[in-house]
Amino acid sequence: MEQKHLVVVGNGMAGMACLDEILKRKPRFKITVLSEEPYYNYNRILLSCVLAGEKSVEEIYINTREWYEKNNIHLRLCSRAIEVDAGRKMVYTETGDAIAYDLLLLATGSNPFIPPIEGVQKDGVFTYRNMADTEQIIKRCEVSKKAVVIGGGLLGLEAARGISNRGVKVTVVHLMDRLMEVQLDEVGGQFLKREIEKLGIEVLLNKNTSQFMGHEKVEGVLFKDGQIVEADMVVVACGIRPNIELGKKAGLKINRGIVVNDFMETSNPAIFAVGECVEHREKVYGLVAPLYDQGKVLAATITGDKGPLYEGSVLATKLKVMGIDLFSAGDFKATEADKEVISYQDHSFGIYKKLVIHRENVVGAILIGDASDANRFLEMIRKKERITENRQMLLFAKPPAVAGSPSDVMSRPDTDTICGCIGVSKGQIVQAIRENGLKTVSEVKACTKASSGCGTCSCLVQDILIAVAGAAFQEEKKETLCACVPFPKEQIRSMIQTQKLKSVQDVLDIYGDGTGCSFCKPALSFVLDEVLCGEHKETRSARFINDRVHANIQRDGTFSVIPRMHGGVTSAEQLRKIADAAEKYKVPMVKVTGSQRIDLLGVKKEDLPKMWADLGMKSGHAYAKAVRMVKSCVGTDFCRYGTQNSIETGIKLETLLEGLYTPAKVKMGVVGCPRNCAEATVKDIGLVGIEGGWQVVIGGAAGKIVRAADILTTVKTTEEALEAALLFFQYYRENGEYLERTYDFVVRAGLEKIRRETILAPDETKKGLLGRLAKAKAKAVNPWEEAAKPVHPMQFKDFVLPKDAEALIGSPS
Amino acid sequence: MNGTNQTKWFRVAPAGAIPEKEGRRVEYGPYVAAVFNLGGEYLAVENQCPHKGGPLADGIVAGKNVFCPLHNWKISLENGCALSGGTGQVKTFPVKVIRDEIYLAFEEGKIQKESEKGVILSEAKDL
Repeated sequence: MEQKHLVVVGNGMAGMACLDEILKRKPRFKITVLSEEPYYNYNRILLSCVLAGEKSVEEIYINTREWYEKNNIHLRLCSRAIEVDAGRKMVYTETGDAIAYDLLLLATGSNPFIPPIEGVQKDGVFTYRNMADTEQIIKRCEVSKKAVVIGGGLLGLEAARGISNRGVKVTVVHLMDRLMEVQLDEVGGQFLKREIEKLGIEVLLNKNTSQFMGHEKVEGVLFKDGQIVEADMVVVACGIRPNIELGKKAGLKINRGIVVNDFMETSNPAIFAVGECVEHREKVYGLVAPLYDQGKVLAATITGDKGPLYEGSVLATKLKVMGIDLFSAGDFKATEADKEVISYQDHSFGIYKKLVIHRENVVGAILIGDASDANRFLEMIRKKERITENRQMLLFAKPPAVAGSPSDVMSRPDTDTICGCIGVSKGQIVQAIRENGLKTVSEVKACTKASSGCGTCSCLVQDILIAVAGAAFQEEKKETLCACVPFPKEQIRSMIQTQKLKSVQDVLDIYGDGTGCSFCKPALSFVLDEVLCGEHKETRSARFINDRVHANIQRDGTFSVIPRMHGGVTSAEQLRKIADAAEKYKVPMVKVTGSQRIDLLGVKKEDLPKMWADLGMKSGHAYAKAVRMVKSCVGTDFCRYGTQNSIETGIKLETLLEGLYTPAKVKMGVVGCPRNCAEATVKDIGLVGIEGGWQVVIGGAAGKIVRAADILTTVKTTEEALEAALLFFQYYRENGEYLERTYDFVVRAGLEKIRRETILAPDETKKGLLGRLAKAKAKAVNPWEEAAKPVHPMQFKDFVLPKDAEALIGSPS
Repeated sequence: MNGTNQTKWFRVAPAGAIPEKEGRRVEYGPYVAAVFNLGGEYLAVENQCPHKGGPLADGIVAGKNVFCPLHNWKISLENGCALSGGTGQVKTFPVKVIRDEIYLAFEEGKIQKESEKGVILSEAKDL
């Protein structure tokens, strides 16, 4: 039998997923794929990650060259099909090729909808649909300062996130009264708006765009209400329309899309269609999941196994919009009188849950902020589960599956798609777990790529893992602050901000176990101080003893005293005072430290305030999770190799930051030349003088581990160097986990991200960081002033009972 | 406690002298205790962590436990047992507050005949 020639027009997700299903049936087809774009089949959903700089083009390929070669697929890139002659069974490309087919599969997807706005052709106005659009927008971001995104749907918001990530200020403009009106109700739209605004993105609703202003280049956007928003870049993301041109030319039946029946057949028996270009039972789908369902049915039909039916999909969206979990399914509007609503709103956490009930069934749902129950609700909707018995418990999370327990997902067929982004089936995941002995969700992710897209299927992946791996299953390390306050630090920060929590006990009472422990009490003390820029309510009992008496406890219960010497510079006068104090308080050991300071060891607690008063120097904070010191070399002042004034700069840096608390201790160094005598490249923050400038380095260590610092930036002036150091310092204060040193933080956060969000960030962001730092600094005090003004009369005292302390009282009965 | 036993009590300080949720070292001759103000309730243990002798009075209080400031062992203030870090136990001492004064008993079981005079015996019943 002669091989039939299958020509697929469109190299997108729907076409290739369908082709994958066809290949599984091992048909005797000769296959040609015509691709308009110069790329292999890539994951369009993840374009937003490319735009945001989180993934490269190669990282979002679903199928690479090997796949096409292995399956003998003749892929023609840059070959846009422009004509179909259904009578002669010919496809013609823009490049002048004529290709004969026996079977034609149209997977032409959709085109961006561009509303008729004056000036849409101006330089700087982009659509956002494919890789080429993305690359152009990325390029424009390098020179752009202010962008407007027209469209507050999914695509528009993803574009806004990506552009904002690249340091361009973004305003999202939407015609409707709420964001994502296709997926959200009014309350949901408000929740989403608030969360997005927290990311520094402006949102304008009810805005009808009238004109893109400017001469050749776009300079602003004019709205029908007369308002003008300045912008040197505009992205139009107003939705998509099925691409039906070829369908028309082939003479197929067309409404909004190419009409197909339940077998995915068009009106021409040799032509099939799949994906966003298709209209099925009067519905057009713009989501991924239905495309896979269609593809499976089409594969059966086209390979002669006609039988399986496509009967439509329940519209469900589960995704991350700008890092915010979001889920919407079915009829979530509940406009009819016989529908009921069960809802839950937590404004501080940004959590919104809504279920729409019709008689005994859930018919629609919206989840924002916490979409962990999405699959449960989707199943209820799909299966029309009777919910009356469990109504009170509906919104409560199902207890997490435990090792060895059966799970709903295991009852699904192996061919079911679990990860819609990457297209990984349940069977593939099960097989990967068994063959490789995978134990954690991240191992499954690394091995199968499942849940490496939007990540919303990770719960299902975990359920499968638990069922398959059984006792071998291991929980992912949870990044909560502490078992006593089981929330990530980031969330605790926002709780403190939004709910005006002032003290450690406030946080423990509301979000913790009320008691705390020796880890979370100091941790919360730090976070409160940092978030509220020093305007928190100080609770000394929540502090480690070092921070109650401002000295470092030693193994015998005595303390060590290290006065501040900015930059490691001291004077004869200071040394004399130190010597006097050492004698007066019979200090058993005077030691020069590794940090260019002098340490008086073995001081009794009660002597501390007296000694500070005698010294007349500031606390060196050598006992605290705080700015420890800046050590410096002599630099240009004396050294014949010096290229920069390291002493003056070191003193300046220490003066700018002294008295501030940090997630873990911060040690700094400033050196006048790359010979690095004061070891700046193994400090948390270092300034390294070079000819004509400074290198600012971060994340160095010479402690439990030794790590050479990374270069944050190279600058010309001392002012620039100090600003870069301050930006990183505050960024670390806000984003570091408690007790996480910079050398771990820099690795975890990633140097590129840190650069993007500090030195390369928009001016507004920098101003914010430096402003909060300045505010905290204004509140920072020298804690040794408590010598004169103790926070409690007994702050430094213990009790030695006099001989007559014995009191004769009766024994308790 | 049986009726014949009397305890030797020492007046430590006014109740406000120990800040809430903090401890203080109390020394009397050879005896050293760590007395804690748990917010109304007072508890006392030996001021020596069973691990390396760390001063428990300087530890962080959480609930009815204290964390040693040296190596973070968690010690129950109610029974003196080490709850995390390692195993061990410290002595506990009775503490009472009478008329806003903190009283501590270093040793139990030694009958002090004189105490029958009981200066503030009547209040003791309210404890």
